[in-house]
Amino acid sequence: MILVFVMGIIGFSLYFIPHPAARQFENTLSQWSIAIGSFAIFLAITSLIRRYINNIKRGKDVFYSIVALVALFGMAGLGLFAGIDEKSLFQKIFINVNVPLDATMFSLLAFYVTSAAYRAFRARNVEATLLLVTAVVVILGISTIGDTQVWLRKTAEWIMNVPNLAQKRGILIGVGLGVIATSVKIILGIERNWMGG
Amino acid sequence: MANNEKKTTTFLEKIGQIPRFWIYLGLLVILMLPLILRIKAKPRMGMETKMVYDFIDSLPPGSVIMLSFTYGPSARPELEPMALAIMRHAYMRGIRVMGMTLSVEGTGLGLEAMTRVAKEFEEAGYPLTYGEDWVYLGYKTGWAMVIRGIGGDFHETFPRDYYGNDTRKMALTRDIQNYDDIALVIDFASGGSPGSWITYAYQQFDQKVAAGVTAVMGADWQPYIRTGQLVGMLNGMKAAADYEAKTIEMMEKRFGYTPKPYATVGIVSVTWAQIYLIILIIIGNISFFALRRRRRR
Repeated sequence: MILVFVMGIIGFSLYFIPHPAARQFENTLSQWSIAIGSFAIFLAITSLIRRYINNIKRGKDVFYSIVALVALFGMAGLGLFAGIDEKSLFQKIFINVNVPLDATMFSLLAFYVTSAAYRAFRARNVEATLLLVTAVVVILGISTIGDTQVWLRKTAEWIMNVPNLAQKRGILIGVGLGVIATSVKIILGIERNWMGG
Repeated sequence: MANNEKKTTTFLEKIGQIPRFWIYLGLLVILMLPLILRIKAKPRMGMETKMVYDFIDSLPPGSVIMLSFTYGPSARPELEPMALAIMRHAYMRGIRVMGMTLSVEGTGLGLEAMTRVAKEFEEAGYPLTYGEDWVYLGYKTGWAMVIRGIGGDFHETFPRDYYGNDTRKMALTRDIQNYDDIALVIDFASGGSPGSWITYAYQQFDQKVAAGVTAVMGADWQPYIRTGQLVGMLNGMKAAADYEAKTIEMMEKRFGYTPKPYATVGIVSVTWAQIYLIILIIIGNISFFALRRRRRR
């Protein structure tokens, strides 16, 4: 807690001190943070390995656990010993296996969203109707249709730049104040959840 | 008369209950057709996209810009064409490009994007030199600390590039000390990283920052354009198509070479899908109102 207090005050103060010495010290702290952050990767890998080894020992999802471990060590081995440049096997596996798999999972959302919008997006009351009309105008206005229908584009831009911007700024100011309050509480030791207590 | 009314109501009920299979199939066909037939859109550049275009266009040749590929494969169709288009624009203006990423998944995607544009310029008969015209720095963990670190000492934060070359010895990176030597940072993001660039790079070091974001995130970052904290923003597939169309036209005029289009084709799929979605919503609502009317009777 003392460490957090001291480092919190130093980090906070350095942000506002333009002196070169302060800048140099801040830079050193940044480099320390990057180095410390790297240890999180080791922690994550250790946790992952332990989890899947435990799964195998217990006979739970054995096949998937083996696949996960083989993928982990296989890709790490390829990257470490066979290179990571654009022509390497590591990059080819990433581009041709990982990327399509990830993109496919995300693409499924489009189908669910379409089906859900068709079934649930109803003009049940004034608020829902307003939401529905606004959504349609913005969708069409900011798409290529807005390029030919100037009034649609202008209306969509007005919605985005006036009502949307106003509420976003309100939320952002609220979030900013919340972050400041939480940070002060952590630095002063009032908020201790991060210690697990 | 009563029979006819019953039949009409039944039909209206039915159109509100189209099986999921047909909705999915319809969407699949609508998404695939433009991609298979290679139907291209001719978009008109939006204001926020033009702000980024104009800023890059105003930079003197020899300037250095930094691209942050902080996205994963799920956002690739929207964000990669933006990055490709900006690199094409920069290289044609004689502007040098550094690439880096704050996301593990972005490491391979950034490399893929940068090498692809380098290959395009080679095919166009205007080869770029690695280390002079472009450099890929790869992934660095620490997010905000990396952004702050570049402002303090670039070489300490990135002592080596992605391939292990010393950044103090490469022509492009040799003279870069901090943000004073970087004309613009463009963050291609599928998450909250533009916020960190604004908070640390812009606010603390007065670095010019632009963002390329997915369409669903666009509204989140718009407030920062009006305040000048972002010099502009590329918002979703539409902005990617706008910028791509412009740079393809520029490359055709200058080199007689046409790069493969991605966003100008993709935006047709997206637009058709949006119209399909709106039609479905209208059908659903017609059915809903017809049912409600019958129930009230």
